[in-house]
Amino acid sequence: MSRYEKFKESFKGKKLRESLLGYAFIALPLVIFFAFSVGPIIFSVIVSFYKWGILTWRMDFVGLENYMKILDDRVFIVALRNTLLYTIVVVPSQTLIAMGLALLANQKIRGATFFKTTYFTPAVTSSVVISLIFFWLYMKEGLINYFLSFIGIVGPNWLFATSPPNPNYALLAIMMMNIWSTSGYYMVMFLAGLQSIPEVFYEAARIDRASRWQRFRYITLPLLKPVTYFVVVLSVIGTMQIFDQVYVMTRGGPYYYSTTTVIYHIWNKAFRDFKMGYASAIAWVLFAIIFVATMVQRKLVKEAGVLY
Amino acid sequence: MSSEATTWQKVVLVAVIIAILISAGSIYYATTIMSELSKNTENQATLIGTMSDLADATADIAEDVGTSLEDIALIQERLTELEKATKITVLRFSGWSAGPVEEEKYRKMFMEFMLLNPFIRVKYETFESHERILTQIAAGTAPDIFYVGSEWAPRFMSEGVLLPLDGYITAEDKADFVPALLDAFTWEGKLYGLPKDFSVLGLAYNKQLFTAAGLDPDKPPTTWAELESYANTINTTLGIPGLVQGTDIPRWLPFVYQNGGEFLTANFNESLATDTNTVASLNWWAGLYGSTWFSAADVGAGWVGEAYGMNKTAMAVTGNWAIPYIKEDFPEVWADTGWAVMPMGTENATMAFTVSLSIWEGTENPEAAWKLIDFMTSYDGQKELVVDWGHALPSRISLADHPDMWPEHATFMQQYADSHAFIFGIYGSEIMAAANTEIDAALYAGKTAADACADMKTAIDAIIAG
Repeated sequence: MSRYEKFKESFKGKKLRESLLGYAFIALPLVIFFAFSVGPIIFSVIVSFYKWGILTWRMDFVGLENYMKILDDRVFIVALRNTLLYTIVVVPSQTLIAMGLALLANQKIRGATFFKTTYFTPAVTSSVVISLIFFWLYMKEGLINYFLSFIGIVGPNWLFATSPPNPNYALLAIMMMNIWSTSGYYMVMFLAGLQSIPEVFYEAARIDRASRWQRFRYITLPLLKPVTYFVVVLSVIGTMQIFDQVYVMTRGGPYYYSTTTVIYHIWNKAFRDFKMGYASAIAWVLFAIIFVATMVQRKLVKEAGVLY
Repeated sequence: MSSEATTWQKVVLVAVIIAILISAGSIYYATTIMSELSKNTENQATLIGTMSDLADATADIAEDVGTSLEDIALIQERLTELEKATKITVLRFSGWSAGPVEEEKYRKMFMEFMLLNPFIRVKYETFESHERILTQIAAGTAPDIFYVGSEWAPRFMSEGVLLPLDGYITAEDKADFVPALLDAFTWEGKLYGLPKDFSVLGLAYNKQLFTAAGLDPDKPPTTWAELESYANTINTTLGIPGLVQGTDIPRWLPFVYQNGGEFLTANFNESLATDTNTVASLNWWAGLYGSTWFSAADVGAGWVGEAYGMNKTAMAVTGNWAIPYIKEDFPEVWADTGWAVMPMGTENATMAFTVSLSIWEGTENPEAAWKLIDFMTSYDGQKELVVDWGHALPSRISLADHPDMWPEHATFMQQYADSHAFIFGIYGSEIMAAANTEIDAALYAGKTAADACADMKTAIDAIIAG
């Protein structure tokens, strides 16, 4: 029976009352969902074909012009490059660190709960607050450079690099902060994955004299694959949408749009330059990129045969 | 009892809870409305008294002079005014806040206004930046009065979301405002806001460091040549940067104007970046970067004022907002600080940053809104909000020589006639971004001034063309 048939079936006879009751229960969230999520999404598709300055309701239809302009937008190219670089660095690092932390936290050691809580704290802290704290940590005379000075390193001005040819560390600094702040969140997911692996597998392996490494390589890792897939997908989506850290810490700078990300560019176009249509068009291009990236990951993982 | 019945019972229970919540909410709401109404009734009681007086007066006039049509018209007018006044007008005033001290000042100001105008109530809303106003305007829920930064003004004015003030302000009153500031809020001959105050760029210099470097502590640089040579002298004798300043467009433009150059045409429809004087100013300004002057980041400070306060430089081009900052945060440096106007090229020029109080075009109470703006930007209003507090300069010329003005601010205020408003037309934000990119290239990547200006013009003209 197809899904649609099932859906139709649910409105017949005795099932009708049950279905209606179900819909009655979710009515309010459904209305809110349509009004504040689906509505704006549909609206942004429409707006992306118009020139619209938000202040008045005058909208001029421009067809595909907004999408064509993206190709010539130098800042968009820079922003996309920054965003991809950011994703490529952050996703593997935070996935590996999260998995490592989860493995450690899963040991039966004293104080494991304390560490779990500590690592998870950044995940429940507002990203703006974290950004502000790191803004101070990263200052030329901030705490990080103070600690570096103990081992004889003169730290750079992390966020606001001095003039070139001195390297510009701003994007790297934001990457490091994000790896730190989100690893704990993904650690919890890995932890859940680890704890759902039945102990019998390990027992059987131990009887077969599998080494620690072998147990990890041939039991833990394969059984963690669904969680890993989930973490990587979430992480890619999250990093592609990086905005608040940039907004708070560098405002896309310090120069040459060095930390301008796609979302930050969208925000600039929409609220700084009043180009709602163009901003919507970029948003849909970003959606397409994320969608393709997720589909590719799904395909890769499916080929490896772990999605059941 | 079947399980389905239980489900229904649950539904009823949920419904009852929701009903209780809703009724509790309505009761609370009703009480609020009632209390508002009772206040209204009090006001009406006073008014009824006034109205009966007026009726008596009418009778007197009719007896004594005989009833003329003009008299009746006048009396009717008064009566309508009174009728209107019986309704409490609520004005929403929205601006960003420069901290709790300013907010307190504004609240006090609103209190004074409400005492004088008992039928107007002012609601003060603060916001962080323009995005909130943008969405409120789009949604038709904008406040009656709000701040408009000069760089945003052209967009707001051209889209017709602000109310023209020409019908309200008198020519005499208008003439008292700094012209460059009024220009910033004038579009196609109409005025769309009154500058609440303004800030300009000037020069802070450290007298002690000047003496240490063998310079006369009472003679700040007055020309480009002096600025350059003093900065170099300080650099060689003391080993610290002689001059620190910002690296973005509003910091470069004073030097453009000082050199007789231009950035945009008067109606913002074409870039003039390839003007010989403009190119020459970039050539001079960018050429000295890294040897004569440095950025705040270069000396490890967050901004120019901080770099100066931390004694990392002997001179800093900064705005008057740095004056109270240095006084409060760096009292020792403050004692040695001298303040000067911008050193001049072939002419005097500086950049003026301003914010207007403007009325939303969709307001229901334009008269009341104007009353409030007029009250706040009046001589007394600015005296209290701007001069006494000392964070910005008064936008009224008649306050320029007020004895209560901080002497440092008075120095900066001297430049009001040489001020150029920070305003670049409806594509201002994009134009600034494009110009900053080229300035960065000239400062950091060694792009020649001629190339940077040529590319700047191409980019800006493309933005204006749409």
